[in-house]
Amino acid sequence: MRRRSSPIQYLPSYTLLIAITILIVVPFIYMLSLSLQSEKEALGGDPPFLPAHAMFSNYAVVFKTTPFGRFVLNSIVVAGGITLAHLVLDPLAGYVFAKFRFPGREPLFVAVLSTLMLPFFVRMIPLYIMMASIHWLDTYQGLIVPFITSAFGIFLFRQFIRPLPDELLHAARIDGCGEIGVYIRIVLPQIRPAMAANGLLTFIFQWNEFMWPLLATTTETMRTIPVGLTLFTREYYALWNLMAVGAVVLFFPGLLVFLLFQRFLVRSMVLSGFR
Amino acid sequence: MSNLLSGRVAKDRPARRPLARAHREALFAYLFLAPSLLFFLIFFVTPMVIEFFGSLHGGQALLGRGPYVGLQNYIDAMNDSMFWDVLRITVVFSMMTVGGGVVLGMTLALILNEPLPLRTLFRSLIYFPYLTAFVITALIFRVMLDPYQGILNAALRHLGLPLQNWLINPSLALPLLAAVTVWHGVGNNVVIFLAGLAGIPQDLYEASDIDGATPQARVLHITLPLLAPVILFVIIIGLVESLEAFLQPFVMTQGGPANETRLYAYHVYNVAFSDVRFGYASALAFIMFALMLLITVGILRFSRWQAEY
Repeated sequence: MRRRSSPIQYLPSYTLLIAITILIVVPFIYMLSLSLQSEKEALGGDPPFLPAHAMFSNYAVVFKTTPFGRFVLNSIVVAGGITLAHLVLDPLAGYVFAKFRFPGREPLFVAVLSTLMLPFFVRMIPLYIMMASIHWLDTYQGLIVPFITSAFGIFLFRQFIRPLPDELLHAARIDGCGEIGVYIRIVLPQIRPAMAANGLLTFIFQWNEFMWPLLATTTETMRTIPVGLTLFTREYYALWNLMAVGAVVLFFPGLLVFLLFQRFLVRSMVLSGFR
Repeated sequence: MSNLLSGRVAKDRPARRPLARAHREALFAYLFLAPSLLFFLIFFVTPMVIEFFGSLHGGQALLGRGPYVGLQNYIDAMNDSMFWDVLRITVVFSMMTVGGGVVLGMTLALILNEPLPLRTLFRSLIYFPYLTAFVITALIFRVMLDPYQGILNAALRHLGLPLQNWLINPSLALPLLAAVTVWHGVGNNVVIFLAGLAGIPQDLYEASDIDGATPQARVLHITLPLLAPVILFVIIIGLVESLEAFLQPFVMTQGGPANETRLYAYHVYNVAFSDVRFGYASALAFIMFALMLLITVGILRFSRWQAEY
């Protein structure tokens, strides 16, 4: 234990922390406030920080007069579909890398991990060309299939499954359990926390994803929230208060997940060793 | 009863059993891995190959099929003054973002490593922006920084201070984009640095205390050197991310004012989808990829050389 000195010495640190916290929190509060402001307040020459009267009607207006409801549906389908696919494929691959021995295992694993180093924009043009040529643009499958698994998830599950006792698996096999049975009945129940963490992280990242939905959709009816919101703001007259409504809706799942799982999320990020 | 008859008892025929089992194990391994490996082949390997061959063709055809031009696209890039401007702008942006992110992140991590009251609350709050979509960050700051409708200028006006034109100002725009990027991502750096700090054994600090080291000396001579690999990791990740930054110009400035914020990825996007020059865009993408590889390898080599004194 270090020698405890007086807490006064923390004052400069604390001041910096409080300043940073204000810097961080203010934009979010403003976003919320903006979503409840009237058009005159938001677009007038003297924007207030808080609205005079909270206009909850803005939310109804956005859903009724813009395709925003469709954006939400698309986001749910796409993010949900990708998450489900991840939860099927990632643990399986992680299990194989963790518990099976076979020729080429290490090089294959390194190869899979190396895909994480590949920046998306190096793939994005060919991906667009590929999807265009099989007419998968503006479709759900075009939005979902290019992301059904990732090296990050596979790595996560490999780490989680490794410590499972091998004897457990051997015992199941001796008892006549087929390989698939071993996986479903023995491995999966043991890794529920990792499934939850991976599922949540995947959903949030896909919910927030922008680049691919931008390229893969050209019609408004297929756009997800992030893309729909941005293009909407640029193509139509920019009604900041209504755009803020969209931002709040986009922001909400992330906030929910964060509040429910904050300590768990931060710890799982640290444990996985990646960001 | 089936285990007695199935021959899977350990004493029987030990020489044959390991081979059969190894085969069976490998078979199932490949079987289970097949879908994932197929995915990586289709969606990672194939695009890279297409990108490479595409960059050797000119043309505007949708499928990137145009006349074979060999390395002409690359030569065109070298001769294009806009290419060099975009590259310069992106590198400057990257340095501001990574530098700011690492310095601020480290400072905050060091502070949050101390037993301060409400420490966990601050840690969570600082991580918060990283969890939100960058689109939101970009949109909100775009609104706040608007010269006419933004609250920042409104606040300045109320305080009697001169108004700024923020994102329309050619000298302010790029640093502002960097600041917004740091705002969004610093929480992630803090978390990573905190994890690294937790791994430093306390005895080192105690020994230095006995030797009468000042707090500054402690940080400089113990903490930072021991954190070098973590800092390196953060720098590399930060560089790669900042070199491919796209949303900032797309949402906030459209590359302006006067192309001062035309970051590389945004430039590639425009070349590909506005100018519809897929071949040239592919070449640009490859150039950046090569650059990233060089930088990453370069940094790793440098750090290894540094460590071997």
